[in-house]
Amino acid sequence: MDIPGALDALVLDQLSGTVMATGGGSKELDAEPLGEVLRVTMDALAQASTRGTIRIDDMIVVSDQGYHLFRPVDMPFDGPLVIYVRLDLARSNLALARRHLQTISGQLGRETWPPSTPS
Amino acid sequence: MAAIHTLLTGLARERATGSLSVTPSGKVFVDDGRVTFLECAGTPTVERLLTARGRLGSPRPDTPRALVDGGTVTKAELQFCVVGAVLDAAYFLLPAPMPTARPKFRPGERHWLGGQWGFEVAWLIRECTRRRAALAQTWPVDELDGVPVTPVARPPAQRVTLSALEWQILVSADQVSTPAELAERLGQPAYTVLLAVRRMGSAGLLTVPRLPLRRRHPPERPEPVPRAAPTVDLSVLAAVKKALEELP
Repeated sequence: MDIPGALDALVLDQLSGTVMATGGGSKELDAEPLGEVLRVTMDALAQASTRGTIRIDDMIVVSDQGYHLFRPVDMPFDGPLVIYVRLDLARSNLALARRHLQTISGQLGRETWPPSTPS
Repeated sequence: MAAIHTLLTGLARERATGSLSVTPSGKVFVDDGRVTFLECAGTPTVERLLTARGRLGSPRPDTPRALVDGGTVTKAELQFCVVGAVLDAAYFLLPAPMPTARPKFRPGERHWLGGQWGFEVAWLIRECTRRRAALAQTWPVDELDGVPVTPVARPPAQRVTLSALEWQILVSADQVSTPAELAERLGQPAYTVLLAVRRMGSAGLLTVPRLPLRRRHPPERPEPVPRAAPTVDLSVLAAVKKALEELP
């Protein structure tokens, strides 16, 4: 929710549909249709492409309710995770938000334990 | 009949710490009433999930921290791995009926991966209910759940779209292995494999076994886990827990 103009945010495990984290007022958000939106888009784009396969980095939908950003993150287990953020149309910067999401998805794979304090 | 989640709800209210062997094959670890780990014989363990991806060397590190410091897995990856394994075990363990043998509670015992992350019992039960509904919504037929996965020779469509996991399942299907066995071999959670098998079943990509006796009945829907656990008399639970602890 540090992204300027963010209204909703959640992290979803796409295969099982489990919500791993939420931010802002997203507790009420129904995650299942969000995962379905990305899945259906992936399927349709895969069918439409000449190769028949697809790899989505980011998906951006502009609606009357704001910008909807989807970012699938490949995880070694039970993935992919999907980061979803909804942004205010007037108060947000789409390019900046995408940079934020890239950083977050990079961190998911890098975070380690803080160094232990010498005793 | 009381299910295991009833007992777990009781332990949560008492804020108990220790381990509870619930079936011959299942074990629950709680810390101050929060579930830190769940084991179920039918679902792949965290060790299996890590090994399947070449992320676990031998000898196995004995703390989560040593595992992360060893550099084979990051903290976030391990956390998602643990959440996934716990939810997967909970899905099959929590609705199981209470064992006839008395469950054994060992106060203070901890899992080697437990303690870093705790899960509310109520959240586990809610999530299992949601997963059960999602499975039934995908395909309300359980005939494929326990039988060998057998792809049809010819798909009933000109074009088929598969997820990466569905592809893995079809490639590994040897017409002998059940979904649970494939999950173990692939190092994937049993629930997600089951969900993928049901989806492929509904798409007509798998051979559904002929079970003439079952066919006459409407498809069996899994019984939903109640959202709120039935009211439990705390004094009875305390007495039960005390008696369990005093067992030799």
